[in-house]
Amino acid sequence: MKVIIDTNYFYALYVEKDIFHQKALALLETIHQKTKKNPSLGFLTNQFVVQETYTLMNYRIKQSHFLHKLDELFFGKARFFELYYSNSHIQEMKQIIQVMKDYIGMTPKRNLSFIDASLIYHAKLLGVNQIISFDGHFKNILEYFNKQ
Amino acid sequence: MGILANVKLSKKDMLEELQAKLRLLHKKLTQQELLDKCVEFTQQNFDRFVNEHFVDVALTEEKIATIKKNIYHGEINYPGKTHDELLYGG
Repeated sequence: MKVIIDTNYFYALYVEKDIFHQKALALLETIHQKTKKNPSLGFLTNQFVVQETYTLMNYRIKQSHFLHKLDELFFGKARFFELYYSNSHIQEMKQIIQVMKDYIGMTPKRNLSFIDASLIYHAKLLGVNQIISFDGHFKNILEYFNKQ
Repeated sequence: MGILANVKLSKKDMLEELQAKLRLLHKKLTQQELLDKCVEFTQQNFDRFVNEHFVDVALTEEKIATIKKNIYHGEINYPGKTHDELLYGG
């Protein structure tokens, strides 16, 4: 089983003031317990989420040393997920844009961002069963593509 | 060109598949040329190669402690805006 992680989870995990912070911490503990029992359970994220997380943190927190802490998460000793990079950049971008087009009007609040679409695309591509996100629209989408 | 060692290739099928895909793009490469390019590519993308193949991503007590130690406790900018509003406007 594979699980892909969205930007807002990383944000909630690292920012105490976020409304989902306690939930994110509890989820981290759950991940720990579950992966102890089942080491084949794989967590991953993609390069676009990394970019978005750095941007979001940089906008929200004006302390350069905080970005160093993120380095530990994404590139250092705290990483607990695979980092997926696109293989064929142009081809993959086109596929992700296609996902954006496919889901126009299907999400409740707004249409998908490129990053959201990349998560859906990579979830399909890599056989991911779940998305960790505090963004409600993924629930409908996952249900939709799990039925396909 | 130097001969370093006899290398047994366990992914010969993949190599042939790559060769065929490139042929479709009108790039005719011998297997040797293709292998050379793969080594070159790995050299140029070394960080990614290490990240994908050699980093232990298991979540440990130690990693949890590091994450908790790094949690930000201060005020945030633009508290009235959602992440989407901040990132994408609106």
